[in-house]
Amino acid sequence: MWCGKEATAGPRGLKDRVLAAGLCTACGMCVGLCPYIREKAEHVAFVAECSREEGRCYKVCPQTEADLASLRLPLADAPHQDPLLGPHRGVCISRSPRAAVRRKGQYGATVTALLCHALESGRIDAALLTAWPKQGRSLLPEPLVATTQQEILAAAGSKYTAAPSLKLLNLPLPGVDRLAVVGRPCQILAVRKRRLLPDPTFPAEKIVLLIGLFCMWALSYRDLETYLEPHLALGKIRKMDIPKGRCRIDCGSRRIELPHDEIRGMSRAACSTCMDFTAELADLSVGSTEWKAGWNTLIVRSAAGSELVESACDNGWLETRPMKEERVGILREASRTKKSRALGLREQTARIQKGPPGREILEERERAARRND
Amino acid sequence: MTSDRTEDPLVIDEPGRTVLLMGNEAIARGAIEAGVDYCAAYPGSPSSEILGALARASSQMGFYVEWSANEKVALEGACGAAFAGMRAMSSMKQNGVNVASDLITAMTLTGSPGGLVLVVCDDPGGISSTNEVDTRTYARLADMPLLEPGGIQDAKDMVKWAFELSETLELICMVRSVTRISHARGIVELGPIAARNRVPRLAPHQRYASLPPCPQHKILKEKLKRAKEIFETSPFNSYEGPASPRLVVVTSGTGWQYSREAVALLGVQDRVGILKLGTTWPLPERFILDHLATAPSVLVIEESDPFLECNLKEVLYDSPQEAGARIRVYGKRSGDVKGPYGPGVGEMDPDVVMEAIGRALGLEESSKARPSPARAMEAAPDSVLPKREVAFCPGCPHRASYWAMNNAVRLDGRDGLVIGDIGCYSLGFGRTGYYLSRTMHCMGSAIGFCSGMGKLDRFGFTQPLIAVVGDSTFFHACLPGIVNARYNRSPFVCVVLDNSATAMTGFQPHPGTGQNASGETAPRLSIERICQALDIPVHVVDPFDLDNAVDLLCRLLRGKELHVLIFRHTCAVLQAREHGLPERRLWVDPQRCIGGECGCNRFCSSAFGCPAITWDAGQGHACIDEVLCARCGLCATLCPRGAIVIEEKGAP
Repeated sequence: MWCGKEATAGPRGLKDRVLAAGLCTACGMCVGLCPYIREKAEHVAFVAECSREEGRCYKVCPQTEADLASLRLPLADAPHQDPLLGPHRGVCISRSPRAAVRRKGQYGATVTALLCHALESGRIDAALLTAWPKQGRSLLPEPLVATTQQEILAAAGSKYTAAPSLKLLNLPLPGVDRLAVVGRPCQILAVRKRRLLPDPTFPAEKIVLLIGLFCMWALSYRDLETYLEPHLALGKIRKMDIPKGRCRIDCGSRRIELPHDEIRGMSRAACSTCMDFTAELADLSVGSTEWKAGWNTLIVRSAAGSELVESACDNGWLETRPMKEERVGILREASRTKKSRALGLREQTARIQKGPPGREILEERERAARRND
Repeated sequence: MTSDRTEDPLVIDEPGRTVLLMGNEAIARGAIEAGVDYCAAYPGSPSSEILGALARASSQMGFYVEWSANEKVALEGACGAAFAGMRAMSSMKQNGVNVASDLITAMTLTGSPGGLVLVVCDDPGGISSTNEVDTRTYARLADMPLLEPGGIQDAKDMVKWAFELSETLELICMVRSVTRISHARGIVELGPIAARNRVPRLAPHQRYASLPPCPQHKILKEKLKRAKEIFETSPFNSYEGPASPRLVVVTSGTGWQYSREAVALLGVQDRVGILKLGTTWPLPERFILDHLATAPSVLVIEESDPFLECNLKEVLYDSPQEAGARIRVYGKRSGDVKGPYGPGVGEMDPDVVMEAIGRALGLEESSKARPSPARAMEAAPDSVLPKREVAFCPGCPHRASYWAMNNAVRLDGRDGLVIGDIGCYSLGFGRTGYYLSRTMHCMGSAIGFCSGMGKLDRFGFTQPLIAVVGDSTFFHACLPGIVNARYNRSPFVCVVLDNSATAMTGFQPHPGTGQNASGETAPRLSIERICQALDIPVHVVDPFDLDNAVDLLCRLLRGKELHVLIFRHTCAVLQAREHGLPERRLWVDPQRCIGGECGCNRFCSSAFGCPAITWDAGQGHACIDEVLCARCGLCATLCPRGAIVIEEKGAP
C-alpha cells in the first residue's frame, strides 16, 4: 500500500512503501543484496540511507508492483488456470509412507519426503530450508542450505514465524548447482521476481525447484518471543503446530498450548495484505489437511513438479490419494476468504491514501474475484 | 646564565625577562609567581592548558597539582587547602563553574584564610562548548570579587595579585578569561617568584560555616565594599584618549584590545577615549564617574552578556544629581553592538567593534571601508574555502561504537533513542555519528535523561533507550545518575565509551587511566567494579568486534532493566602516539570494487564515512588515503566484495 510520498523504484521506495508502512513480510530477498539492508530476528531494516534512485531491493520485493503475466509464464502450460488456487495440474492429498520421515515432518511430511527423494535421485544437490535453533531458549528458526538427507530431516517441521531464508541466496553458494527453495507464498513470489531481473549476481539457473507452503499468516517473532519469554526455559524446541483453535509448542519433555486468539493477534501486519494462500507461483504447493490427520494437501502446478511427485511415489517416498470435490471447494473458499480480506483492506486503505502504485495488482485481483462470483 | 631554549619559561627565575607565553601559560605563571601551593582542575576548553602547564612545572617548583574527577571536587580541594592557610587555585571552563556553583555560594559566605583564586575561562561563541554562558554573573550572584584580564600580561599580573586580594579580604576571588586570551600568545615580562613557606594548619578558632547565612552575608557585603575601595585605585583600570572625548568606550577583557584596534583603524583617536576596566565586580564607581563626567556618550564593549553594560547603567542612574543618567549608553541593549547573530550572541571581534563605534559616532560606511580578513573569508566562495565538517578521526573507536549502535537501533526497529553526552563522542550528533545522538547538554545528563525517560513506560512509552557517556564523563558526573537509575529501577542501556583518555580536551589522565597529573602511576579505578558494587549487570566488549557488539546491544535493548555496556578500545591518537601505527597497508582493489553499482553504492565512503576513504569519481572506485588511514581495518569487514585489502608488512 502506498504511503503517498514521492518514492522511487529503489531504496527510498522500499523504505517508504514497504518497511515504514509495516508491509515487510521478512521474505529475506533484499537482505544482503547490499550492506545497506540487514535483518535481525525477522526484522528487516536499512542501516544507512542509500542514495540510489533505482535498485534491485525494490524490484524483488514481493510487496511492490508485480508483472503477474510474466511471472505466471513458466506455469502457462498448467491445464487449470484457477484464479483462486492458481495455475495447477492437480490437487490431491499426500504423505510419506515412511513412518520415520513422518515423525520428523509436519502432518504427512510431504515436503521432507519430496526433498529427500530429489536429493538422492540427483535432481537437486541442496535445499534452502529453515531449522529450529540448536541452542535452547530460542524460537528463532535458522535458515540453512541443506546438502545431506540428515540436514533435510533435521530441518523438517513447520515454522510459524517469518524466517527470511531467502537472504542466503545473496551469499555465494559454492558447490551448489541444483537448488530447491522451500518458502512461503511471498518468498516464492520474490524468487520469481528476482529471476525476471537481469542480475548476474543471482544464480537463477541454479534454482531448479520451488516448493511453496500454504500460508494464512506468519507470526511476528518478536511478539511471540515477548509473549513466550516466561516459558522459554523449556529447552530446545522440537516442533510447533497451529491446528484449528490452538497453538502447540513441543520441547521434548514439555509441551505448551496457547490460545488461538492470542496467537492470531501476533500475526505480522503485512500478512493482512497478502492474497496468496497456496503459493500460486510454485512448482508444488503443500499445506495441511485438517480433516485428515497425518496427511498433506498437495497442489501440483508445473511439469517438473509433477515429474518429481511421480518419481517420489514410484520410489516409495510418497503416496497420494485424490481429493474429493467438496474438499477442493473448501480449499478454494479458504483462498477466497484470504483474498477478499486483503482486497477489502486494500480498498479501504487505497481510498484513504489515494492511489496506490500497486493498482495493477488491485485491478487484476478484482477482476479475478468478480469472475468467480 | 645562558638562555636555554628547552627551559620551561614558567619556572625561569629572572625578573624582567620577557618571554612569549600563551594566555593560559601566563595565568599559570602568575600563580607560580604568587607562590601557589595547591592547584586542581578538570579539563575543559579553553582552560585545560593552565593545569597542564602547572603540572609540568610542579616537580621542579614543589607545589601540588591534580586533575580532579570534576570541577566541584577540584574547587573543594583548593578550598580545603585555603582553609589550612595555603594559597590555592582552581581553573575551569564556564560549564565547570556551574558544576562548582553550589560550593561557591557557600564559600563566599564563610570566607577562607588562604589566598583562593578561581580562574574561569569562558568560551564566547561556544567554539568548543554546548553553550556560551557568561560566568561573570556568578560574581554578582555569589558576591565575589571579579577581575578580567585584557591581555596576556594582564592575565599573569592579575592572577598573581588575586592571591593577595583574596588573603586581604579572606574571600575567594574570580579571574575571568576567555578563549582569545587563554589561547592567544603574547609577550610577557616575568616577575619574581615568591618563596613558599606556609605550613598548613587550622587553628581552633578558625571555623567556617555558612549558617546562619544573614550575619555572614552582612560581613560579605562589607568585604565587597572594601574590595570596591581597593579597586578605585587599581592599576588594572586605566584611561587612554583625549581629555574631552565625544565618546568613551568602556570595556573589559578582550574588548580592550579590539577597541584599541578599532579606534586606530577608524582613525578616531582624537574623539574617542578608552576606559579599560580590569576590576569589574564590584565596579570602581568613583573612578568610572570621574572619567565619564565630560563624555556625552559611552559605548560598552565586552564578551558576551551586557554584564558590564547593565552594571554601569546602575552606577550612572544612581550617580549624584543623576548627571550620569543623562549620558547616552550604546551597547547590546541598544542594539548597537551586535554580530551576525544579534546583540549578546557570539564572539566580539574588531569588525563588530568598528561598526559599533561607527554607529555611536554617526560615521558612515565605517567598517566596510576597511574590510577585515574575517569578513573577506566569509565572503570567499566555497571553491576557495570548502566547508569541512567535524568528524571522528580515522580509526577512532567512537566510529565503531556509533556504527554498532546505529546497526543495533535500526535492527531493533522500535525507534530507539541514543542520548548523548560531552566528549569527543559528542560528535555523534552529526554525520560522523550517523546523526544518532538526540540530545546533548551537560556532563552526565545522558544518564539522568534516560533515567527519567525509562520510567515513562507506564504512560505507553515504547522506545528503547541508550545513554552514551565517556570514561572520563563517567567519573565526572555519572555516578549519582547511575545510582539513581539503579535505585529507581529505570531500564535503559548505559553505553560507556572507554577510550582510556579525556580525549577531547587533550588526553589528560582521569581516575580510570592509571596515571595522575604529574605522570606518576595512580590507582586505576574500574568502571566494571563500580557497576558490580551497585548490582548493575555490566558487559565489556571491543567495538571493533562489530558483530558481537551489535548482537549484544540488540539483546540488551530487548531487556527490561538497567545494563551497563562498556565499549572499550584505546583512542586511536593515543594508541598511535604510544605504539605507532600497525605495520600494514590498506588499499582498495579497483577490480573488485563495485561502489558505483546497486549492491554497494559507495558504502565505505558515504555510509560508513571514515575520513580516510574517498571516492575517485574519475576512476569509479573507492580510495584509501594512506596518510589519513589509521589501519584499523574496520572498513575491510564492511565491504560487500572484500575489495579492501589489508596487506600486512614484515615477515610473512
